Amino acid sequence: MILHGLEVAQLRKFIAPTRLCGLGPGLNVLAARNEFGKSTLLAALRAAFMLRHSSRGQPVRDLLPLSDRGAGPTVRVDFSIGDVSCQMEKRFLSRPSMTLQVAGGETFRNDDAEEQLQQIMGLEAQGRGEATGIWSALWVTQGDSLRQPDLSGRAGDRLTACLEGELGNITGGAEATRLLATVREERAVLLDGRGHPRGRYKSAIAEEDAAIAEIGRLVERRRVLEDDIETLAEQRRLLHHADDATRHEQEMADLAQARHERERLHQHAGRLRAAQAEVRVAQGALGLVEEDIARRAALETRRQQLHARATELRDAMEAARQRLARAEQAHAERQHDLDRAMAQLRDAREVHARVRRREQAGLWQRERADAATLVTRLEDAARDVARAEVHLATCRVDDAMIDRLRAAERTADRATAQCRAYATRLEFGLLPDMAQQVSINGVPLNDVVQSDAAVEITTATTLHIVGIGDIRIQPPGDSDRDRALTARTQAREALAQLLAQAGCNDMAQALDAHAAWRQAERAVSDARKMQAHLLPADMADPAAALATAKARIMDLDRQLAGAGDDDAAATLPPLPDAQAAVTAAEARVEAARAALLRPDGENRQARDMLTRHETEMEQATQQLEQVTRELAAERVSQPDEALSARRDAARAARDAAERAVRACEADCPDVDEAMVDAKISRLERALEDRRTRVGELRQSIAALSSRIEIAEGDGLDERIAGHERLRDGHARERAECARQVEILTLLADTLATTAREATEQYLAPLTRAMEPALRGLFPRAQVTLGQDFSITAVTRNTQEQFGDLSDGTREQIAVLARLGMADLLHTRGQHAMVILDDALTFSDSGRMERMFDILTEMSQRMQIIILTCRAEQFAGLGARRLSVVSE
Amino acid sequence: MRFVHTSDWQIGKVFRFADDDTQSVLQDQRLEVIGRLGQLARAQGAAAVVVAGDVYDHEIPAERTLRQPIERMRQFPDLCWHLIAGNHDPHVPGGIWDRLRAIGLPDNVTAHLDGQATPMDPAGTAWVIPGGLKRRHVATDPTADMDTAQTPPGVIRVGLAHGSVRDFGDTAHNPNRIAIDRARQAGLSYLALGDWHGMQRIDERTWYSGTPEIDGFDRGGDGGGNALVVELAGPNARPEVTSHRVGRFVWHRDSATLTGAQDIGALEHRLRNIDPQEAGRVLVWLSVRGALSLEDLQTYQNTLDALSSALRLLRVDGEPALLPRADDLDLFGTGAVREAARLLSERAATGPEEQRDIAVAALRRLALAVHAAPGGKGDAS
Repeated sequence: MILHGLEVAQLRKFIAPTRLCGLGPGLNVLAARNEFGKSTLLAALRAAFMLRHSSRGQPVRDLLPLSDRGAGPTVRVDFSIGDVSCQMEKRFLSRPSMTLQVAGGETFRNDDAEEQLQQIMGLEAQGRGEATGIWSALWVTQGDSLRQPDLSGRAGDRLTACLEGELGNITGGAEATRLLATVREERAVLLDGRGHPRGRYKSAIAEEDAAIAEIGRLVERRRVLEDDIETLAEQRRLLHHADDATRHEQEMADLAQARHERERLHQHAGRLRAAQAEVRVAQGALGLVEEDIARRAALETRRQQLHARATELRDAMEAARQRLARAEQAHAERQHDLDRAMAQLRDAREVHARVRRREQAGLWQRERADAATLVTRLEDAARDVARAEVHLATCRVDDAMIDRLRAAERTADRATAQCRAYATRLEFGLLPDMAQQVSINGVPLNDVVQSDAAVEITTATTLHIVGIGDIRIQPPGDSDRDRALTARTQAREALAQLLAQAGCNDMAQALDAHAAWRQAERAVSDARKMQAHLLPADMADPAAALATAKARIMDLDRQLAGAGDDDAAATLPPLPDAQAAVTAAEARVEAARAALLRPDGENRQARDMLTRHETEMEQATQQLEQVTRELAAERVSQPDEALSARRDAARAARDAAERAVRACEADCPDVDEAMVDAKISRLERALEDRRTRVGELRQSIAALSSRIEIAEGDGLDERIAGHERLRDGHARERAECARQVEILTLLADTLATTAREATEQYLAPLTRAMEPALRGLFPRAQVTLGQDFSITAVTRNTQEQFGDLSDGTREQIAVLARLGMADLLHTRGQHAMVILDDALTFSDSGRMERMFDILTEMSQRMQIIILTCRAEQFAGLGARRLSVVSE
Repeated sequence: MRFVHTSDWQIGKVFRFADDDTQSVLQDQRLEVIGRLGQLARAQGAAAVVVAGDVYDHEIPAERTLRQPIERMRQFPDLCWHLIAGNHDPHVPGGIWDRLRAIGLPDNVTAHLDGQATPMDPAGTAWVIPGGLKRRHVATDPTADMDTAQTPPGVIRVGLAHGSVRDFGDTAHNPNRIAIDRARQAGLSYLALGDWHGMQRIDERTWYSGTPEIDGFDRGGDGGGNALVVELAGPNARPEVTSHRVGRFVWHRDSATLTGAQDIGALEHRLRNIDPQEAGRVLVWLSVRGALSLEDLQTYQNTLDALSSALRLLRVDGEPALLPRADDLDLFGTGAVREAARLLSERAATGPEEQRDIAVAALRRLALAVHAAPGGKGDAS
């Protein structure tokens, strides 16, 4: 297909008729600034071929000019497809119309023209007035160049037909794919994307589960109902039993009889209690008399006991006094032992004191001898120090003096060296044995010359050579030399004066004198060290230390004199023995004191016993007197005989009362009161329980009857059967759905397998068709195509997914894919033409050059139109330059 | 004395295999047949209708279900309806009969619950001696008391009971067993029995009426759908029993082995002629086996679709296998679709039966899809 002309009017910004000029076979480029209307021209072209003239959809409304929303956008296109030239004009929205004039043929209008155009172009009706096809993929709008072409529908079919044609047979891949889509759609009615049931399949499962749950609930309700019915029957039986009038009357009669018996029992119990009270009164009177008798007997017994006790106590008191006397004698003996031990301790301590004094005098004498030795040594050390210091004072060359001498010597040497710098150097090279023939200022040369056989002359000098005569040498006069000579002289004089002060003739003597001074100084130091060793640590002054030692000797002499003489000291035992004797004496004293102070139990017990017996004796005597008085008083008031008569009368009264009680007990009714009470209680409770039970049963029966009536009214059995029928129906539906899913899955899997195999067959030629263009840009690259013809991956060194590539590469590959498809269509005799709107925006200059080569090569077989805003970049393409002309 | 003998109405019965529409119609007809029974009694000059048990299908029916047959009987006040309890609706305490008693039965309807003999009609020429069930299953003979049942002398004794006079192979457990010579032992002029859904003559005085409206494909006797009109001239007269059709539906069970188009045609002809005048009364349970070519399978499917629409119910078990012919694959053209058909055909010929069944169905579906597709091979042919 070749586009020869395009004219638009009343279309977006192009109000006046505007024509795209210069179109022709091969490569065409329209380079214009942004917002020039390039995309509008492409939109107009797409609208002419792909939108029906009668359409009022948004794509058509988008063509309206902004200034006139009531206008009718118009597009005229001149094109040839194959050998057929066509002219088409479409007007949209306002008075929509279409004409298609085929060269050498008739002119079609409106819907006929649309159908004819679709046939010519191979377009497919798609939705509301739109048509699309392979052209939609080959005419790339702005921004779509990054995306791969959409080859669904007839575009894919057309491409597939080409590819299958290349294979030489029909693979059926497209048909299989279409059937596969249909099968998947059918399966999607039953299964969702994750393979879970949906629609009627899901409903069948859910409703079956619901029916099962409802059946379970109803069965449970039925079980409850059966329980209720059984319970109702049981409760009615119980009510019948509980509500028996005969039993009620019998129990009431039994209750009255039991109450009568209880009344009889109560009356008898009253009589018995009265008789028993009489017995208790008589028993009380008898008890009082017997108490009086017993108390009098007890007093007599008590009096006798106290008398015997007083006798016992007197004997015990005598025994206690004797025991106390023995204890006091033993205490006096222990006091005597203590006095004797104290005397022995005093003697031992006296001996011990004398031994200690003897030992102290010995210590003082040894200390005085040591002090005398120290005094002697201190005095010797003081003399040695004085002697060494006198010798040191005679040595005049100390460190200061020797330093001054050395400084003066160095000054003299520097002055001499300075003079030598101004001297005339006279070197001799004499024959052997000729030196004695030469003298300088009268001094033989051998005595004058230095080691290097040279003489330095600073003053006028006469050189005399035996056999030759004198040679006078006069050094030149110079003030610096004179000053140097003067300085040398002064330095040497200063040195000589210092030597004289030191008492030395030269430096050698001075050094020896300095060594002697050093030795004298060390002697003084040694003497002082020896003296310091003798001093006490707390006393640095030798004189004070000497005085202190002498004072100590005098003090010790006074103490020895004060100690006096003990003639028998020598006979005394050693100090440890004396000390041991003292310790032994102290132990004996302590033992005697302990024995004396130890608690004297015997003494105490004897004394306590005596005291206690005395006290008890006093108490017994008082009590005896008291009891004797009481007994006498009672017998005065009531003699013993009267008391016995009272007791006999009380016993007779008690016996009479007891006989009355026994007579009453013998008259007791032959029933047990507790049993009668239990019977009354049981009967009362039974009657009350029956009343309560009847009420409860009636209430329960009413509630149960109501509940049963409601449950039965629901028709549980019928409902269970109904839900079982529903459950079975849903189960059948579920099984059928599962079977359908299985069938559709098998069919889909089988179709997918065969479709994939077929696709793989016909994708190979498309891959081959794309690869020349692709390798022009990416050498050795291979593409992988999906079943929808999209490029899924590119293999260079490694396989890269299309989506992972850079924007530029993806755009270039997407453009190359379109060129490859167009080339394939062209090769198969199909119509193809490519339009790129603002494509290749992400390409660098290097790849752009290669893209130009590819486009140029492709344009030899088909028309390619490029719309761009980058005129200078596409200038090197060598394409036709298009222009836009408005009337 | 003339009366109608019927039994096993089983009002409220649920038909699990039926869809909602069929279920509704079948249930309705079980009620409608009461009216046809009343009309039959009137037409035959009968004074009474005895119902030998299983008036209801469930022990606990819904209130509406409970009242519905009563109201139908109320519409025939000139007839005396005598009911007893069956094994589906036994007279248990607090059960369905107590509910009916609480509701109150019409004067012309008598529920025999206490086993007492009762006049069959106001004239008292015949007495009903009931033997209803008090539990679903009883170990003793429910008619045993009929031997000693007291009736006025000279009246016609008609026994009314529910149970089986013959076991069905289960000798260990055979509840509700009725002595086969009960009519003779009890001096009955006629023993009207229920429980068996097909009409059955046990002896000249002992009959099962069967259910008046068939409710299954595999019922005994003649399958039901009838009522008996009994004529008794006197207590010792031989009963004259005539059967009358009162049921509406025809339940038919069939089987077919299909190997080609002729078999399919014969099957269709057979099923359509069960009731050529009113196929909507026919319910069919069909068992199918055999093997068909792909094309014949399509024909078979079309036939089933047509019969399903014509009949009240068509229940099909089994499916003919696929017998692929060499030229069957040509139906799928060439290329990937044909290859898919070939793979499915191979799978349908080998492997386990379930797998073959699925493969056949998938192949048939593929054929339908190919033929239904625009420009498909079916269009081309």
